[in-house]
Amino acid sequence: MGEALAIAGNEMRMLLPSLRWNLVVALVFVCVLAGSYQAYLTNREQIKSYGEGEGPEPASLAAFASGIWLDANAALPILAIISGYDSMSREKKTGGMQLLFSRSTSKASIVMGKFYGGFVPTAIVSFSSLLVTSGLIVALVGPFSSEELWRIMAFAAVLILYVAVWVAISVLISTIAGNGLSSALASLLLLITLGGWSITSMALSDFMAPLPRFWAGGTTWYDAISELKVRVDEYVNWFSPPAVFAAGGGALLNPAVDVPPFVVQSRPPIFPVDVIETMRNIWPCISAMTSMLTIMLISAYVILRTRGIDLESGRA
Amino acid sequence: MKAEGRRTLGTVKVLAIVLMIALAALAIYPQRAYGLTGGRATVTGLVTKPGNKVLFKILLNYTVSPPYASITYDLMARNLPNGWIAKFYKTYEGHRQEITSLTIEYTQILAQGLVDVDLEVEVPKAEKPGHYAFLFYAKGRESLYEAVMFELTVDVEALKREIKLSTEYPDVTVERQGTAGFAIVLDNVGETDELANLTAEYPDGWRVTFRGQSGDIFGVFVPKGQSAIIQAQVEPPEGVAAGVYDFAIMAQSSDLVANSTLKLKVAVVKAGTAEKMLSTLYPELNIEGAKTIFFPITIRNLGASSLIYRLTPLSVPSGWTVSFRTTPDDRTSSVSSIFLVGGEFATLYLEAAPPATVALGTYAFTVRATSEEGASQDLTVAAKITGSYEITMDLDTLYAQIRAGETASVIATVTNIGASELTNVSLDVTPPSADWQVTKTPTFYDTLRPGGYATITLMLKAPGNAEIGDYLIGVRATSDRVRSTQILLRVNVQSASISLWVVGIAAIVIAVVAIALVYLRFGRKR
Repeated sequence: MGEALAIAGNEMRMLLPSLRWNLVVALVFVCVLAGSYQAYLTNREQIKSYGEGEGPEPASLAAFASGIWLDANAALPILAIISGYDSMSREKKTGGMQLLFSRSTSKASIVMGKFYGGFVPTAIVSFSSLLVTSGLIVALVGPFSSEELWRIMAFAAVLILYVAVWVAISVLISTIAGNGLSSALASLLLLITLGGWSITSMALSDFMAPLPRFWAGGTTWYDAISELKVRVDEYVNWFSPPAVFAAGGGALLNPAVDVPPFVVQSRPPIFPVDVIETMRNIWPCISAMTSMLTIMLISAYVILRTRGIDLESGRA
Repeated sequence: MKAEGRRTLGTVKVLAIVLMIALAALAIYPQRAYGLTGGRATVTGLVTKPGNKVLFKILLNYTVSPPYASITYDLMARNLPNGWIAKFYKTYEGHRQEITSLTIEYTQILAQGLVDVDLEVEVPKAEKPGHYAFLFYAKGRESLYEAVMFELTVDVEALKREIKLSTEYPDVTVERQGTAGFAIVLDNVGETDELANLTAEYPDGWRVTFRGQSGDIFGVFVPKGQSAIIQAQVEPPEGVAAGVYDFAIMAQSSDLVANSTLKLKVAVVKAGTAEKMLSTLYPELNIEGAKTIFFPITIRNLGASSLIYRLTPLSVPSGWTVSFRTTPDDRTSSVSSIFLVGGEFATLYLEAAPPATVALGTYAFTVRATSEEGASQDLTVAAKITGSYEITMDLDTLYAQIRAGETASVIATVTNIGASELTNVSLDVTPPSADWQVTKTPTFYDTLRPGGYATITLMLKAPGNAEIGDYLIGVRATSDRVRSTQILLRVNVQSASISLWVVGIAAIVIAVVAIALVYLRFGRKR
């Protein structure tokens, strides 16, 4: 543990002064300010239309969700990637990895150290961006109820877990990639691909359960294939961190969602849905992200161990 | 080397345990946490009336898989309102059988995929109207995961209760010593049987009796959808003066829910009075505003032989339209001639419809009845239009959100929908407490012409120490003559803006300090 923390400290000292890191941190807070202002304007519109008998009742939580959504789904994953994309490849290039091996540092400590080094500052920035958004929404829109505060705190925990997954993914890719540039490109490409995963899941479900247009509904086969199509679409989504986070985080910030993740709410919601009920609903999302995080770190460890001999001899 | 191998092995073990815990939490397939049984109703909300049964078609989507060879579901309806009865039915080979549980075998799943079950719910006869929700629950005995629950609703509507009194000839003429008889029909057009009590309102000294098949009656039982005929006898007192007398016959159920009133008129004439071919009980009517007027007109065949009488309007004020109707409710056909047996009479209604805008004043209408023998008689009636006062108000919003000490602005539009000019038009505002400040701009309008509208801006200032929450403020338009119905404005008050800014800035400061500490600690390379 001590070795891992020492490596994490060194990693943070490399990361924080770097221009790329600070630019993305700036991007995070620009997104926070823009999102909060947009949420404020939307709230004003909502108040007007609600008074005319249209739209949902304006709520501070809805404004918070609107304010944080771009940041949580785009800026913070990019920050997480930036914090870990060259953590391994840089060491390989500069010979630092051979130095670590020569000191008999365990491979697990290296992986965990690099992960902590990226995760800790990213988590702090993520938490800070949540605080700034909350502060701006309270000042511009209005205070949160205690139920809303619990929801925001639960959302913060899920968000921290989500950025941890992206840090772990970038550390894994960095372990595989030959240099920082290819690692960064691969990580960002993965973010874009997984971010648009709903298209992939739809394509896969269409491919695996094709439903000819000329088929009429109501028959046993039609119903069975329709069911399969829905199930495939649902299964595939579980492989995408952004999709899982959007389902879990979205349910936390919207009390009207009272169905499990990836299930379409086809009837009016049953109010009130409290935060405990929502947590019970989205528990599979938390489990899925925990599993993703674990698998990424173990994979990085296994790859480092497999390729360790090459690195020690300077061939990698 | 051996030490490093042991350490690595230990790390792998720890990671493997973590992975196993994570996978166990995920249970390979996350949806398993909800069970694999699904279910839905083709219709989840039904409308019915007390005493009726409703039927929900439920589809169970079971997914039993090995090691279970079958799953038995206990079927239940939970949270049913008191007195309601729920029964489950399944149709086997064309025979409908009541069931309480259902066993699904693995082989059935492969063959069918869905199982349909009928849920029949009986609503008690005494149930009150309202929206009732309960839960369908199917629980698998073999596995806790295999369960499904969803909400079903029943909207109970009240049974229609309506009785209606009517008679073909509501206005009759009697001589001083005569008796007027009315054949009254009592229709039960509701959905329950009714026992109606019969009462009457009549001038002092008069006597009204009801007769059925077995003699005098004071109540009548009418099954739903059927009618009863009642004979009402009206006898004037001795020495009654000539004139028109109003009567009202009332039928009402013992709980007063179903009731009906029939207005009758009896004209007392002296024996031997010269009768006119064309007459009316109301030669002049007063009416508020521009509304359609109906004058009852009696045409009498004074001769012994049957004749056809032609009816024509002779003079009608400009813009007005007139028609002859058999009843005031009949808007589809008008009468231009009428056949009368000798000595008989009939009552028609002269309908006079004013133009869209009509000035106050008296308007005269002259009509003529001409028999086929050439005899004719004119009749002039008059309608006096008096003023009418009606006012409505709309708010541009029914919801406002402000902070304590701040002001909400709401625009009220007041419209004069009456026929007369309104004076001193303003708003009557009922704030939640006296420390709310209400400002109206302008304070009032001196006049508002018929059909015109005016806007008043309402500024509502919440007190600085107002508690956070929703407040209802009643607003209505007023004038010297009339006032509108009240509209409730909901104002959501949040805490004072300064305290909110302090909270917001405090959160931002914490964030900045957290980041600054990280940079101070790790921001420089060693």
